[in-house]
Amino acid sequence: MKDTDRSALAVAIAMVLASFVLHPLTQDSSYLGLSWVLIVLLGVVSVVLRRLHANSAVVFGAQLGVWAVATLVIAAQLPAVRSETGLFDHVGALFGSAVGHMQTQSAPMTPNDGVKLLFVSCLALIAVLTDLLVLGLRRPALGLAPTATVFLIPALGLGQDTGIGPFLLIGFGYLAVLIAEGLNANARWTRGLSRDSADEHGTADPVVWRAAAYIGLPALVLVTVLGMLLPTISLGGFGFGNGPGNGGGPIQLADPTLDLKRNLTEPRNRPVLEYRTDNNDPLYLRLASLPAFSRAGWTNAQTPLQQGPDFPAVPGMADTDTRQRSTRITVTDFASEYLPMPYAPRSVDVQGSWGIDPNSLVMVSSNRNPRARADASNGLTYTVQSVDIDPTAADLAASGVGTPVDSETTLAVPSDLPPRITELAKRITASGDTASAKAALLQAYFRSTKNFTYSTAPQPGSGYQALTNFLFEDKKGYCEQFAASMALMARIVGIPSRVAVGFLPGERDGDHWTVSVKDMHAWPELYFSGYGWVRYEPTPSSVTGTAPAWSVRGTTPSQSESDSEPSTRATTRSQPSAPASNRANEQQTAPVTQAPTHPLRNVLIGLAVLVGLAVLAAPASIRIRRRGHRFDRDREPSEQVEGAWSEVRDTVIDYGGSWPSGSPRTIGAQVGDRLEPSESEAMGRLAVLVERSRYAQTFDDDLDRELSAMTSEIRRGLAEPQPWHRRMAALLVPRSVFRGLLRFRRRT
Amino acid sequence: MGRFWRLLTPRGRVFLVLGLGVVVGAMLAGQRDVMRLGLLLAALPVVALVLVAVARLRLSCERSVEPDQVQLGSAMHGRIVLGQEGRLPAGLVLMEDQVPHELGTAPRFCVDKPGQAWQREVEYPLLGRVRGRFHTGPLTVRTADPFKLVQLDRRFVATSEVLVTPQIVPLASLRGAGGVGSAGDAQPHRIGVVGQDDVLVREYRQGDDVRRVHWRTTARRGELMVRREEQAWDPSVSIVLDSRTGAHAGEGIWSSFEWSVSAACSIALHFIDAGFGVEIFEAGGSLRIATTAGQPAVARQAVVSRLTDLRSRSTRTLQYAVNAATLERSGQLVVAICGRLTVEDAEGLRRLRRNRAQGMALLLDVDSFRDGPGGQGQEGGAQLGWPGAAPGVAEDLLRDDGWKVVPVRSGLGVADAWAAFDSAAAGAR
Repeated sequence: MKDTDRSALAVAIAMVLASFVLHPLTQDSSYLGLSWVLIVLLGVVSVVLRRLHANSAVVFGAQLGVWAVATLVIAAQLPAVRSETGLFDHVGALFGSAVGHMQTQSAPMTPNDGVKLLFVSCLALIAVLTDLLVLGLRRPALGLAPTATVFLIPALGLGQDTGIGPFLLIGFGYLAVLIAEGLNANARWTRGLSRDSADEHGTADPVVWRAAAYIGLPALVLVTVLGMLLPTISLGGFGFGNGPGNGGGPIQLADPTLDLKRNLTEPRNRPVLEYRTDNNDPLYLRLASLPAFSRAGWTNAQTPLQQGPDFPAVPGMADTDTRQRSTRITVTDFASEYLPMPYAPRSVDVQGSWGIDPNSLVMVSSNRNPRARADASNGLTYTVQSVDIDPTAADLAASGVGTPVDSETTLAVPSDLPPRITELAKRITASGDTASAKAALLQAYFRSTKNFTYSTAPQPGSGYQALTNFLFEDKKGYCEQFAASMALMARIVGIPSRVAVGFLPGERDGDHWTVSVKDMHAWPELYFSGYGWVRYEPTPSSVTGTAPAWSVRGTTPSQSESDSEPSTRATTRSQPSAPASNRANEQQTAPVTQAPTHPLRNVLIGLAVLVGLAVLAAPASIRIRRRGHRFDRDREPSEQVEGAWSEVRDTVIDYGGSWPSGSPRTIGAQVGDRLEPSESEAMGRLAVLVERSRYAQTFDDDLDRELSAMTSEIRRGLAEPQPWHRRMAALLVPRSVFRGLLRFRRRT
Repeated sequence: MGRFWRLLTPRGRVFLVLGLGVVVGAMLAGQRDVMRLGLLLAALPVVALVLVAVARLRLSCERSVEPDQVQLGSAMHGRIVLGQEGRLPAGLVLMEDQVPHELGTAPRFCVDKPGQAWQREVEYPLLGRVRGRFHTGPLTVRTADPFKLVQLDRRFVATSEVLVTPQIVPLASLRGAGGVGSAGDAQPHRIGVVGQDDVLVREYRQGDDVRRVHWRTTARRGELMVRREEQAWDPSVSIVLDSRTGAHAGEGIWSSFEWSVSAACSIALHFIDAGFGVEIFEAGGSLRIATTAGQPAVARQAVVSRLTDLRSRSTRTLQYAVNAATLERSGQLVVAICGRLTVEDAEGLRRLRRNRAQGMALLLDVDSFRDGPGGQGQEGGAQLGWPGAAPGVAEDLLRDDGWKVVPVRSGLGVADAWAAFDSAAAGAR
């Protein structure tokens, strides 16, 4: 087995192992097989070309070519995302959809063709880079760098400890590359023997394997143990990718519905915030959105947070160029860890550390001090840019039920749901044929004063007990029960839903709106394809006024109902705070993982920066590598002399000089004229040496030791008169390298 | 601590420092996954260090070079017998023998058997490409790890000496340079042409060796007569070797200087075998071989050894050689082996010949050596760094003085050149 075969095999092994590392990010395993095929293909290209003694630049180019063609071929096999405008547009569209998918999805992502293509393409590209480092530049120690970038994507991107598995995959892959190098070096070591009594033992490979095992396995075990034992500290502002000042632990968010009941039943109404917005329209300001439903009611779901101020794409909204609404909000007296905002926010300019839930676009404080977090919104003044979700009823009727990225949560109906509720939902919506019709029927059912009475008397809660009580027994409730019931029934009939908690628009006060504590409200949001999350209003008009225009079919049944203002709400029986037992039940708040806020985006940026740095550093590395190669002690003396001569030539070219033509002596004299006397003399000696090594029959002078000293003296002499920027240029962008690349010289 | 740091290779040091840096950074940033990568980088050199530093090697090494004295251009082979008692360390054990590059490349081998006790014998070829005295060894034992993170070099102390002597060519006897001397038992059969032809006798005196009785004269005279040997001259030859750097050309084994040394050595040994006292004068003075006169074996060894160590000198004139030779006893044969001669050098040789009976000169056509064997001699080529050389004039001067002169071009063997003296016409005599 040749050296290059062994190294190429090791690179392929390392890359196949590394491909598993991306697995936690997606539910789609099909990228694995494809990437393996591509990795093996690239390895074969490398082996064959290197066996043909191709220049490593040629190998690199060929591999890049194979990579590009393979990416296009794979893309062509995948179904189009958009219209077929051409292969390249198709690839661009796939990558675009991959980026969009990654931005909107949390890990593990649902299958997506773009993401699959992106993963396969990235893995193959990293295999090419690894091959370049390990075989092309012969720096196997650097072989860790490309696979480590693969490793860092889930390590940083998932925000939680990925466990020992991915690390071991990367570790074994790296050890494979290093062992291949060790085997190669060991095989090269033996030389110059005419007879060896140990010939019959064959190669020394077993010794290498044994030594590698003795070192590699304890090292991996040590890392596993230490990796668990060593503490990680969190220092404010020191983290990367993790949002300001936190170590990645989960944040417990309070249940916003608790505030709801308390605030609604406060004896004294007090203004809590003011806002003014374009056209002075009334706005629902949303605090939180509860996507998960279980026996205990509607709760927050565990979700990774992103960093603001810009929000990810509005989930499910197709129309991206909607006019943005600017709203300036001043919170005068309202303490919450949620930031009141109109839906759907696009960007916000606010003080403090806030995280964004990419699914609900809710903004929560990421302050890790619970006390400070609970008070985060108080006294803030901020401006929100948002888009309005205001489809017409006809639009909505035309659109179907969508599938949000978190549909696993927002479509889930618990299996132990009381069948009465399901039957009721089916009965109400029996006459509806489309999703929007069913939603309208549901809303009409709840808004009908014949069916339900608004009352803040019931206990807070949205669990089975509270809902059956509301739906079948009492038929009394306030916004929480209305919203919870409608959202649940929407799910039962197949519409993804969640419960939003926030504020009613409040009272108009001149050029701004004042929102009071009793304007606190809950409403369902249903998901429609093309529009995303659309607000519905099942709470009777005595509290909420008219329902949204899109949420009723044809003529609005509640048209006649007067636009009663919030203060005329139904009887507000002063209710002491809920019994402790009930509260405890409600306080099951879901942990919200505070996690790298950018789904892979920052990692991709970091990757791009790394690749950029590598590209920038490449000429200097090539130059330095060449220099090292030229003074390799193992080479023939005459080769070393030629190497020193080429080194001087390249140095002259690097500093922008020209290399004279002619015999070594002529060149030596001409170059020597530009130097100080002692360096000029060294140049002369070198020129004579070159002459002798080229033309003398034998050349066995003991000069190789002073050769490098001589060359560095000449190099120093050439560098000294140069200004510093020329020297930097010579170091970073040595012209000789580009000259060499252009001429495609074979490296000796 | 410093000891361990020195054991690490540059790669090992980078791994350790980078790894620890990553670990600390990851700990501060709370990135446990990144910390593992750093730990791996740091752990590899540490584990390797422990394995290599703890390892005890129990190796025995026996070394030799056979033969330990060769003529220039001949091959020999080095031999190393390595024995191991006890277990080998977990790392790799790599051996490299130190071989001066004049003799060839340093042989390397690695221990490829992780077993218990074993013996290993390796041989490697050496070629005496440069004349001189060399040492092979000591054997370096490098304990390393397969990841090239740690390496520990240890050395045996034993070395082997190798002597690469000049090429020695057996020479034919010359008619013209032979003669019979009159001295005692170490009677040279061919003595220089000088000296009395007759055997001198005197009366026997108390204490004379019986073996020195000259029976023929005793019979004729009727009383014991003995040979007057103590007054007989010892036949001797002075060899002047032009060892000036500038007087020679060519590279390595094919240079005119090596040819001269080889000729000087062959001629000196030829005369020592013939019973002559031999002294060699090179550009720096006498080589002091004559002090060993009377012990041919020792003299032989001295000639070979001194000429093995001889290096060319940057002296520009032959006057030291000539002066030293002039101070020696006179009346004998002088052989000069010369490179480029100036007129001044030739005059010096003529002076030297004044108190010698016969002069023989091998004049090398140095320029023909410049291009190595088979190269076309460049007539009148540029004479590097040697102004004033006048080969033609010098040859004429010597011939006029009665020297036997044989011009030597590259490719002519020493034996052939020597044989050419027979046919070489002595100058005006």
